[in-house]
Amino acid sequence: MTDGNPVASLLTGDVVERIKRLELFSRRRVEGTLTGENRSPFKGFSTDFLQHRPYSYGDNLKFLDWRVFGKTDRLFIREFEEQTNAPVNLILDISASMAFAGEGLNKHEFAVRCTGLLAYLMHVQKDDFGLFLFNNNVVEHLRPASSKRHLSRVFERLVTVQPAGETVFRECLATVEARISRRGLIAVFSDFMDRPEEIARSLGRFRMRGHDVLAFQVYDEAEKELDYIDFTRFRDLENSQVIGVDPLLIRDEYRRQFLLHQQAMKVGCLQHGVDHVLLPVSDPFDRVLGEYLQRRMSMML
Amino acid sequence: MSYLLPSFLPSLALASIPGILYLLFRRRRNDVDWGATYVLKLTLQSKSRQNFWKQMAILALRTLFLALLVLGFARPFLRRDERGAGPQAYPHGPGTLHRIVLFDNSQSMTALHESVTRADAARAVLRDLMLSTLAGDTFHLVLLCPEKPDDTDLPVREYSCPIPERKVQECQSGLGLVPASAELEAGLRKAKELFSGLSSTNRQLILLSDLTRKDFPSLAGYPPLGEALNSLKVQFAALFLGKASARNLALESLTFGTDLLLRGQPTHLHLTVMNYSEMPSTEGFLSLLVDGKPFMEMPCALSPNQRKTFEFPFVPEGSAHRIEARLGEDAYAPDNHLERSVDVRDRLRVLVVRRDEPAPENPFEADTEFLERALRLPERVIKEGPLKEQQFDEGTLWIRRQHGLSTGPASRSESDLAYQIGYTVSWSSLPRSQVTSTELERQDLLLFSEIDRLGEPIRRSLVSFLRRGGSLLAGLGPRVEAEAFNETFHDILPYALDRPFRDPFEKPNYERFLNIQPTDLTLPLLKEFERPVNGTPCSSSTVQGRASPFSGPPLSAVRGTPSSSTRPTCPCSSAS
Repeated sequence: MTDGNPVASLLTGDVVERIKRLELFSRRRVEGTLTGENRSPFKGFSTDFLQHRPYSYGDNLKFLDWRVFGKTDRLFIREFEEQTNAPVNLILDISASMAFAGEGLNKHEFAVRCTGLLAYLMHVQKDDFGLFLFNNNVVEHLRPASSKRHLSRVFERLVTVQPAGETVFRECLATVEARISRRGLIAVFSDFMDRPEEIARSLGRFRMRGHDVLAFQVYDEAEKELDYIDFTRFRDLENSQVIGVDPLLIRDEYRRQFLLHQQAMKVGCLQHGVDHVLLPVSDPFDRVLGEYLQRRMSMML
Repeated sequence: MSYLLPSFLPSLALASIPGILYLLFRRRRNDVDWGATYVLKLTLQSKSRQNFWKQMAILALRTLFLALLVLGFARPFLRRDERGAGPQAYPHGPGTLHRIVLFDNSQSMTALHESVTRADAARAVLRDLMLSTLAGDTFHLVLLCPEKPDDTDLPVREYSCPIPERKVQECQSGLGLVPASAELEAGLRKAKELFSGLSSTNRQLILLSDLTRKDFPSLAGYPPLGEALNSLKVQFAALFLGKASARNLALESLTFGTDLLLRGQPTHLHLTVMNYSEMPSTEGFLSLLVDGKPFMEMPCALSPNQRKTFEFPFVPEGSAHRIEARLGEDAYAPDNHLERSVDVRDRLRVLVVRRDEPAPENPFEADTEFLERALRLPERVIKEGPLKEQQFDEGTLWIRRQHGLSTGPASRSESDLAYQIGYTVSWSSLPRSQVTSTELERQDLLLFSEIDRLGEPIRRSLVSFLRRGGSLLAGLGPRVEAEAFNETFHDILPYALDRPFRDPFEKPNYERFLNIQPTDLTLPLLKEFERPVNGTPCSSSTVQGRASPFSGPPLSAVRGTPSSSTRPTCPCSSAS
């Protein structure tokens, strides 16, 4: 994954062709630095009328609505909605648990590809995109930018990073929150193997700060099904703790617990206004992500 | 609890398979790097104790299932409480029982056993044996005598256990005695088949018989069967229903010195008596009755297990007789009496078959000349002096000494032995080429004079003639070719000629033939003529012509025995 062009190693030509037609905009107002397709909390110069307000001293007479003055003898200023580019922060969990592999890609590789795909999409939309890598701490932070050079840096970092360490969501997300100054779009890629209520609360804090938050939960079918027959010793990838158990005896309960965990994540995210998306590793990442983006676009129209 | 098929019980070890597999699976553990340990811990927190007991329960259920499966194959059952005298009287080890009773239903079981008959005593024991069976047991009753004379197989009755009282009574009432000998060997063979067909923990073979030596000499007489039964671990028990010391003299046979009884022709009547008791027989008499009238009596005292043949001189008269032999009463009455009816001929038809050759110039060289002289019978037999007195043999003497009886010679009435010749001899002579089947059917006795070849039709007629009871005397001589003789008579005569014998006949001497004159057949000559061979009276194997000029025997036997049963020999056929 590290050889050659990092972009090419993550995204093939087919994938690029498919995602070119997709767009990712924030449903909320974002504080971009450049003119773009996203709504901004500021008033600016665009064709989209926003509102009237009474004239106050110092206002530019250029925006005075003379028609209203002619009818009412009162001075009103016309305000227009500003459209800006969206700062997108891609937050990738690189804890060791993401290294689990059933058949094919492991969770980390899958998440890296998804992250790269969104980064590329943002680059195409001329949106700024930054990258956070975290496990028990924020390991890497690339500030948002939209240049091609920045894209290359992001991709290079994505293909070189290896999963390691334990996950500590609460502290890491708090750190990320402190480092993001402008409202924008936040996409988190993780398996969220921790208490779902706490994770959802942490993500909700982003939402409270005005960010549009997307939580992508990556999981493997093998993790979900626990299809083992022999007595198995499960070694935790994060802390090497070993748990010996007969899978046949706990399989049903395990599956139930796994679904409950996903359900709790979904409910928690819903409560805090966070989009929760399940990404099964077994499916092609571009299709899964593309379907979600398509659905999101249709909801925004 | 008992089991019908306890051989399956060792398979209970199979029940340990789940436990072994459990341990093996734990040993053959699978190491997996796991990402969703958080969920796994959640699962174990909620279900860890429950899972442990669930695991144990599943293990126990698997073990129980296998154990029940094995027990199901072993067919367990609950035995009812013991009842009656059964298990106490005929104990066996734990587990199921396969009991086979060989029941002697021969006529000898009518003998008294203490105050009841042996059959009744055997029935009482059989009742106990049947009632002592429990659920899960198998009971077979094998009768040692076929119920019908034509049956070749011994009757076998199977009863499902426990046997109700009603079935026992039905069985006992249906046990009839038949006039046949107990076939113990067939019974043992049948028991072996039955034992081999069923698997059982305990096997019992019980013989209910009077154990007379006639029926059951000993198990040593059946070594293959005995070994087979031993290999099946069969407990063998024989209930002795008679007493070895009980007196049991048996009349075994009643035969005549000849099968061709001619009126007025003296012969001997042979009676064989056997003492089956383990004790010497007491002084008794062997009585002979002719046509219901006492004819003669002889003292009869035998040592244990002794067999003795008594002979009575007998001159048949009239056309038929009913001969009866009787012994004194003893423990078993049915074998104390023998009866036989005989026909008496008044004419002896003889055909002389001679070689195909012209009559010799000297009539003395013709066979017919000798025969004519030999067969010319007087009309009356002249008594010659006193009869030889009968002496006791050593066995009888021993018995008589034991009982303090007289050991002197017994005398017989001389007047009883006076008789007249009451039959005629009609004889004819034919050359070999003129003999026909029709001619053979009309004869009683054939005299072959130096005949060594016969045509196949005549040979077959001769065989059927002998099978019908005809007699054959084959006279040999220097002109007989041994090879041709053997080929012709190989399935007729028990002897074969070894090599040709030629008499030099250097100088004819006919004087000795002139001495052959019609004469009285005196008793000593008859005794010589009918002398028993190997204890068995057999006139057909005697050798005639002791006045032969030859120094050695005229022929030598190299193969065959007179008692061979595979050849259609007639008891009267002989080689002289």
